[in-house]
Amino acid sequence: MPVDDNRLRDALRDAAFEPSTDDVLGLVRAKRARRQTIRRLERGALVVAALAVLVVASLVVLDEPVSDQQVAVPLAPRSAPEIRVVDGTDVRRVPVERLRVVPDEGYLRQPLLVNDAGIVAVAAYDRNGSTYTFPPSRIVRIDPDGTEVDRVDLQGEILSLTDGEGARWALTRDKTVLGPEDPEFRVKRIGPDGAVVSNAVPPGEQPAGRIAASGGGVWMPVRDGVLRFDPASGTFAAKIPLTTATDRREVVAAGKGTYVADGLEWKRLDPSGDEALPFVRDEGGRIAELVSGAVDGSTAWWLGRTADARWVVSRSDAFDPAPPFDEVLLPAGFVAADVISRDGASWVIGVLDGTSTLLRIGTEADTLAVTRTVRLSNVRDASVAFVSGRTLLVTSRGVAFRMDLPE
Amino acid sequence: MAATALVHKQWSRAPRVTRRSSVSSGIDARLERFVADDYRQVVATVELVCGSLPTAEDAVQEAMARAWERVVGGEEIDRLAAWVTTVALNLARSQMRRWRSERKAHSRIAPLQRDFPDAPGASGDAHAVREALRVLPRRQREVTALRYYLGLDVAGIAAWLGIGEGTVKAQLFRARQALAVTLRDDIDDDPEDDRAGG
Repeated sequence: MPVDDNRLRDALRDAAFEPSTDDVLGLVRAKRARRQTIRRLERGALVVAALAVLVVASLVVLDEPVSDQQVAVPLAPRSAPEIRVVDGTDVRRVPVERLRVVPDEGYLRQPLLVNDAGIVAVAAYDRNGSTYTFPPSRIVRIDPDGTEVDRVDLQGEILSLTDGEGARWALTRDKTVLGPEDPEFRVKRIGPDGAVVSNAVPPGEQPAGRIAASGGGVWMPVRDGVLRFDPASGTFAAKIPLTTATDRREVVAAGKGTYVADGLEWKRLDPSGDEALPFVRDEGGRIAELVSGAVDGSTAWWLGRTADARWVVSRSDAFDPAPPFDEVLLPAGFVAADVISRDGASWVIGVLDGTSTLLRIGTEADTLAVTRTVRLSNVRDASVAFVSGRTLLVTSRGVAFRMDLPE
Repeated sequence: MAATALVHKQWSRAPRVTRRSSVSSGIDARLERFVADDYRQVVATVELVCGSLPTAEDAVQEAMARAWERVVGGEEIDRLAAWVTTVALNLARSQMRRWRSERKAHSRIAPLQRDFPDAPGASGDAHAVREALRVLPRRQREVTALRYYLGLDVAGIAAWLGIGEGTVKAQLFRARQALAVTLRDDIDDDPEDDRAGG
């Protein structure tokens, strides 16, 4: 049955909407910024390990070897990560063993979070070919031999996990956002009974780092401040503005305090007055912008960027920091994700020349220096956490692996 | 509502992405030109296919953001409008797939809601065509919008959608058949319009 093309053409043109072009580029910029944020969080697969180690650090038995019973099935050589430990000129390859999760929960990936009992929480998704898909998503907790302890079913992409303030917490991203007024990110409060309460992050706010639950609040760093959520309900409570806008900042819990990086300064977060109070400035060194930190006993380790985009770790007394601090300039080309610390040793995790890399920071001849390099190659979509003093848990290609670093 | 004049030449070839060694610094200006020259048409095209203006706007803006990233990352998109349209149609398609799943669940407890609203002031054939588009298969909606709204020829549609020209012709034929039924019904219902149409 014929239809007149011109009539059809006219009808379609008549039927078509004429959208507004007001601030289209602004909306596109916002979308681009959001995509960059997501990728940054994803790229920081290793980032999540920091929190895990902070939690587990004080209870780890450094010299206790991991039981052979934790070892599972050897993996095909091509799909297993290759781990090389570089100590000066000595390069050693570390055996890698697959950790089989029972029951199979699908594709495992960041974030990883280790609690003080050695239980690892990891995000899991349905497999989709060699990658994954969501919804649904789930947080799976496994014991050291890979047996599932429990799981929490969610819908969004899991960006960050933390424990504290009487609950477990997850920061998630919705896969679909229909309009600028719809929330994209959500803070999920997981009660002791496993009940999940979802709370929207105010639309327009994008995470600049991991969530943290400590010091009377649940905190989400954003570009120009920190969002506080009520620890009892998980609902958004307030935004604490910071002076320096940045694409990366972390909230660090140390003792009873909670701190956030703001330019060259660490500020203590006060939930009662929703204020960020001055704590210490890292002045006199090479750091131009603090990003993250870790506290181990009486020692604090700061990670920051120099003015020319290099990365620096500085060390100070945790209780009475007085600049200038000891510091070490990390190798050119190294892009740091985070710093973790334990018993005087500090690890910086990141990427060096396209390879996931851990740098151990120690003291050589009374000077702060990179004392060991661990390179993780043949990995994809990787994340890493220390589950004991020398034992690394790595997820790559949706699979979990375990390896013991040499003394 | 009359569409702005279409510039067919720039639409006639499939988008091409190549790798470049240097980072472009002109993407801002290209996007500004795109907004000024092509944005409305592209959004309207995607809206005709997916039936939702917010979804179409969101898909096109997301496609622009991706184009921006690619160019800044060293790739070159030689036909920005074509590239954005193709990506936006794919994004909208994914959205529609999700909606269908949601509808299946929703329809068990509530009647399906109309989701293809008319353009402001649209009437007559426009209303009938929009109603008819609503029930066409997705591929037929795409080829119809690209052919009769954007003015692409068969070869151009095939290149854009990555399908054969024969497939395009077949889909267009079926779409026109379905639309003809609707328009004929519309004509039958309106004797005055029937006379005017000759």
